[in-house]
Amino acid sequence: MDTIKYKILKEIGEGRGKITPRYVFLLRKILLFLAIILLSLILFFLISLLVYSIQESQLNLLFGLGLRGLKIFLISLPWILITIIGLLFFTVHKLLREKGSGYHKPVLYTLLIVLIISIGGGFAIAKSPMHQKIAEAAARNNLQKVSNIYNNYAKRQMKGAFIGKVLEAQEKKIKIRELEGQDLDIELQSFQKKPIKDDTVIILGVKKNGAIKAIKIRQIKKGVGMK
Amino acid sequence: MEDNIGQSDENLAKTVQKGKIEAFGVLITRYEAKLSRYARKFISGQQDIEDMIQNIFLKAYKNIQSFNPDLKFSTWIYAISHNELVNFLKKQKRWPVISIDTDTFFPAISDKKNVFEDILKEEELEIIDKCLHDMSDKYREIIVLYYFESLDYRQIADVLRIPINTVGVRLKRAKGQIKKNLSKKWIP
Repeated sequence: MDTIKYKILKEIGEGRGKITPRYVFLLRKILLFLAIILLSLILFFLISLLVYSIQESQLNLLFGLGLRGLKIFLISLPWILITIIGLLFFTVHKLLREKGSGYHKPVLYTLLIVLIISIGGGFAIAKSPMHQKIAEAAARNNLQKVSNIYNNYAKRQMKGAFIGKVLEAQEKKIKIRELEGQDLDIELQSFQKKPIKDDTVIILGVKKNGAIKAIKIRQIKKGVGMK
Repeated sequence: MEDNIGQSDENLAKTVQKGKIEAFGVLITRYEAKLSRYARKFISGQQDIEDMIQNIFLKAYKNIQSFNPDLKFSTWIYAISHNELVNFLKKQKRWPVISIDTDTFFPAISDKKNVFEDILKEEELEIIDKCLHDMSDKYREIIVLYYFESLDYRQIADVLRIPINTVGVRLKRAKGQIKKNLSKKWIP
């Protein structure tokens, strides 16, 4: 029995086992705390960028347009950004559970807590004009990379969905002007409710011979669709 | 050295933190047999057990400044032992490198603690000991910590870094496995 004790004390005596100073542990704790805070702030920022992207691209208008609308919504989401958010989310959660004292609670609870705080933080930033200001400042100061990110996220293409103001309304045909200024001819089907001039509409449709055959059409409340 | 003998583990650890190596010798004497018994439930080679015990004490000494003397020293040293054991079992491919512990996912109704029922006689412990080899390491460890090392739910939760309720759930499942194994062995 005493041989192990002797060996250990001998190793310590020979300097192979040295006590790590207290400040090292303190420093590690501070670094862990700072890492969690920093990652959380990045997470809030990216979630707010996602919200900003959905709002600016008007992807939210696709809700209420059935399964087809939902499909276009899902396809149009910025999935790279969502993947980065997911990875950051799980990293923060893992740090809290494995290095912090989060293990006292079931995983479901800690996941929910981190999720609620992340979404809350993200939405709080999204409500502020921060992203708008960054995008404007980037455009003003010619910061190409930042501008590209904001253009990429703010003007996401919705494949198969078109938003615009009605310029002309005929019996089975309307002409709309998109946000970018492009005019589109839309063919309506007999069962579809016809919009009137100056309505802002969202149309789900398929492009055929230069015109778009409307599958679903919805009037957007005045001032919501167009900026 | 003699001054140290009547002191609590936590006070001894405090003394080690001040640089008194003799106090650490007393802690080794107190825990060497316990940790060897714990390791023997999972590892069969004597040399491997000795190496592991040595590593545990060396790690404990190096990290002694991270120990909070307001908490139990036994919990702290068993937590180090658990990590060493997991590392050893991972090398032996007996412990998954990446694992999703479903026991810790949902809030669970814990096994009711019945202290009188859980104090086992020597013969009963021997029977359980014989059943341990048929159990997975995850369930074996909870039985070893609870029945053989006499750690309470809170301590086990801190050693394994799982919620307290999960300790109850895992213990209940482990007991179920023992009952199943016993009925297989003794009931034809």
